[in-house]
Amino acid sequence: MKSPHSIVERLFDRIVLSHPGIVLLVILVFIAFMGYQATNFQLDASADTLILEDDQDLRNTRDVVARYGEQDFVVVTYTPKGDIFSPETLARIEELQSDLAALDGVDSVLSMLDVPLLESPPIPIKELSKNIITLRSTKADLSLAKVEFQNSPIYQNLLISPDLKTTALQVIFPVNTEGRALLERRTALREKEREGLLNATEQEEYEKVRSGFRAHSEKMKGVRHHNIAEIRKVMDRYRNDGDLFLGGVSMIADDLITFIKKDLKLFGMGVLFFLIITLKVIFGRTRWILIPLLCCFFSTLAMAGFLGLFGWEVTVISSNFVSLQLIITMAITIHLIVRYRELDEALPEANHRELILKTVSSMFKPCLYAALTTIAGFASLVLSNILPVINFGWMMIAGISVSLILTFLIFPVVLIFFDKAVSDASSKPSFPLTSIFANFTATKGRLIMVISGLAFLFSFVGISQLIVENSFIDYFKQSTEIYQGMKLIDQNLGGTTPLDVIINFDDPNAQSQPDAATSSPVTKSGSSEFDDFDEFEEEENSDKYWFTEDKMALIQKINAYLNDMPETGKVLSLGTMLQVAEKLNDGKPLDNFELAVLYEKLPRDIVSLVLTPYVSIEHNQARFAIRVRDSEPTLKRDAFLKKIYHDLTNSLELKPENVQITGMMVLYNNMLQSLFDSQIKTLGVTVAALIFMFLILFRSLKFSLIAITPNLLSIGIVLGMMGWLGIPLDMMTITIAAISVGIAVDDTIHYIHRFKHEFPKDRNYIQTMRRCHESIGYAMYYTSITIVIGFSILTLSNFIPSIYFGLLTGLAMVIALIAAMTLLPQLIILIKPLGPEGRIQGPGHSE
Amino acid sequence: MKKAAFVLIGIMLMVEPAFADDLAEVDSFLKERLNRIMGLLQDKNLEKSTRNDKIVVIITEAFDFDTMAKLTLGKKYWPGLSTAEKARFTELFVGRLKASYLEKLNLYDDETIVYSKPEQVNNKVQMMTELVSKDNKITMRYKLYKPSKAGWKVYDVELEGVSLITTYRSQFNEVLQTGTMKDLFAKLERPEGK
Repeated sequence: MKSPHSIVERLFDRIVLSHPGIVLLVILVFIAFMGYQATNFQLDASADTLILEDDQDLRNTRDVVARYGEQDFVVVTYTPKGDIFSPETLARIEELQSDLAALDGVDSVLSMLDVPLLESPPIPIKELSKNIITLRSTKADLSLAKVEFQNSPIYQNLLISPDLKTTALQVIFPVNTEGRALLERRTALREKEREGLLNATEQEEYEKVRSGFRAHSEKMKGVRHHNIAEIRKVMDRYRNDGDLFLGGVSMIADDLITFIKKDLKLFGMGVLFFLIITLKVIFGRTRWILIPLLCCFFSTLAMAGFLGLFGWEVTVISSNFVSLQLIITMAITIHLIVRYRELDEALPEANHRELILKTVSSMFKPCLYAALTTIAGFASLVLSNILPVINFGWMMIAGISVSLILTFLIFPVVLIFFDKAVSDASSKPSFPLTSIFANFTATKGRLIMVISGLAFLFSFVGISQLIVENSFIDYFKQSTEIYQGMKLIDQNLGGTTPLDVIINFDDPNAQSQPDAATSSPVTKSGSSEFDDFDEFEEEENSDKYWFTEDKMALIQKINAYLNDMPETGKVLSLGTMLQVAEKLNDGKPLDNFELAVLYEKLPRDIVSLVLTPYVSIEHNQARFAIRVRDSEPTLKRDAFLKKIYHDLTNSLELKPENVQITGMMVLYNNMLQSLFDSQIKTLGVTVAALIFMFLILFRSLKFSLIAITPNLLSIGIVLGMMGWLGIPLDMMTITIAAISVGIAVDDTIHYIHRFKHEFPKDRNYIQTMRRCHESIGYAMYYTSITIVIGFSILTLSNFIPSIYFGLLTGLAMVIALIAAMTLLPQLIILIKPLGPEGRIQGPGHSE
Repeated sequence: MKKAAFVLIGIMLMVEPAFADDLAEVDSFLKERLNRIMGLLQDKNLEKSTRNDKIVVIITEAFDFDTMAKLTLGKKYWPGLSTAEKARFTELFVGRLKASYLEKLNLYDDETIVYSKPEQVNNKVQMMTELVSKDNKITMRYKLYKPSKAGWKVYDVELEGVSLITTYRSQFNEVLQTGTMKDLFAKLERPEGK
């Protein structure tokens, strides 16, 4: 055996290659440990993972929830075959309701049978406080009830569809007091931690609360999943009588997890199968299938172990990490295989161990560079302020490191167990795509530049059309049950995404202070005439006098405004309740006096139903609980929210400080908008980080600028294509740009590294380009083809983001490959960063 | 000391019958007028406008509209008004109050009034009544004071514990808090509910 070249290589040879069995055993023990840790691996698709942590709106939303109460519920829609108001159907609804209510973990079920009927027959407003009947009561007039439900501003579009064909049952889960308490404590401590004010005991408590909250959330996810499965079982029993669908935020979260898990399993298998086939076709031999798969499997498992160990939850955003890990590991392994076969052919006299060592040592540097650069790229995600995106950044940093280290250990120690055997006959592809690219680059340099220019233009225009919209319903194919259910609820039962508009009224005591002070001399002289009547001074602050005509008129105006927007589904507020009261009052609005009397006389349980959720007298504010039609094609979330704010503060003349818009929709929108910022910011930082890395690696500004160009093209085309195709930027697709960077960087670094290595041999740019295409080009080509084919199976998923992921990742790979094989060499040939051709320079320039 | 106590008891004894007189006075004053109003309401042969005119006459002698107007603005706003503004406000408010009172009276038909005994509250008197119908009962509390020798006047009415004066106060307060007296006049000039 020849003596190795450097200390590192000698050490690697002596430690790793001399004891492959021990090293493999250590790896296996490590993997076993990580595999065990991987059982703690968690998938989280809850709403909390989709929002910005630092968001003031999140605090506002939590305040509103705390003030007005919140219910965790799902909605069961029921479209019976017959008339809903027939006694038989009503009996069936009652049965369904009691079946659902009987389920474990269900607090209560609200249906159209429970709500007060005010006009079937009509009740005078004087008697509103008693004699309230429901559909269950024998006194109810069913034909009048039908009219009431159809026209009621409260019930229509909430409990029953406008066409009276579908009714909704609200299945309410118990209030999660434990979770809320933990969350509140965690938020308080987290804020303190951010300000650096935590002492040792609080730090300890923070850790405890954090893990407690996580464990509790995990438990609740399981509980909810079980609840939803049980509810579906009950629904199944009624499917003979009509159509039933399940909807609601809890269900979306649970179904998202189910979809992602199913995709991970099913398509994970599919990708694996496709990878095996492709590897078999390209490399033929079992070892070249076994080793890449082992590397991929171990890396992914180890990474899953890290996730469990650090408690990083995989969210919808980071659910792609498995695929990414596969891509990266596969790329490294294929580079090693191709290099081994290349060396095997070039050095037929070298022994197996020598070849392995040479392969590993010659590929370590470019692979390390590629990994470091990709890490720099993903590190930019850490700069975003979306917690799941930040976590995704960290995951990828860890994942790439794990892949690099494990592959460089597993590949040699496993390969050494095989014999050298005869050289692979088919080390060149039967379809010489790389030589076509080489010839094309050599002869059509100018065309490449023109096409690239056009491609940049195409990207630029496409990117300018990128939209940031995120509709959950668009995540699912129209054939899926979840899509149909959401569509039904969205269109006929009041919409899906919750949104709250909070209006503060001016504090009646605030402004009068200076007034009173200035007019005090007058008051003094005139106050004696009021001395006998000071009873009114205090009384005015009593709750019942809060309901003034002006406030009510404003509330109704706002209610009507919100209700008239095409994007809003159900709008519930005091205004809705007033509409009903007005109807009972012969169509006349209630005056202050009547309002106060009504407030005094209403039974407290009715107050908690019609007032408490919409009015906080204590805080002098009113709430409008809106559900937005998520599937409305005209819905532009950001513009919609801005319009509400603009119209309320302009047309409706509210003071800006008195208007607050909160709720899930605002939080999603903030996240989406920050995605746009994040995307631009992270890409900007990524590009800067890449140039910086290139400068360190290549020590040449020219090379760095050359290297960045194909990367820009790759990101540009992927984002541009999304813009052209109208694929919105959302929390799933945002990662695709980052992935395409990772892929493109890989190709660029390997190619340039090889080019610098090959160039000194003859100092001919064209010839060097040909040699690179014939060597490293194959590895790039194989990697791309393996991954494109492997991921193409994702297009069969029912989950739209998976389809986009499959297609766009494929696109990114193809573009990166083409750019690295045409534009990149063309730029090198054009700019000549390694100096003029022909003259052999000093040794300092060579590798 | 003993003497002082004796004087005090003496004063109290002197005052007590005077209170008793007041209560009796209020009792008959109010009963008489409310019964007249009920009589008018139950008279189905009477034209609505004639009836309303007659009712207005009765309430005008029973209610101290000027004081009521003053109270709805309270010491926060009333003293700051010019004499002309005070007059204008009183006029508009009284008009509004009468209209609103009549409108509400129109809702009642078959109720009977049940009177409770008047009660002394400081130097004023309150009298609770109940409007009782077949299956409903509405409580009304009349609050009276004696502005002059001429006799008692109603200065506030509470229906189901809701004070008429305070209701108007909160409403006017809200207008004046952000707007001016002019805005309030404009509002009062518009018909109710618009």
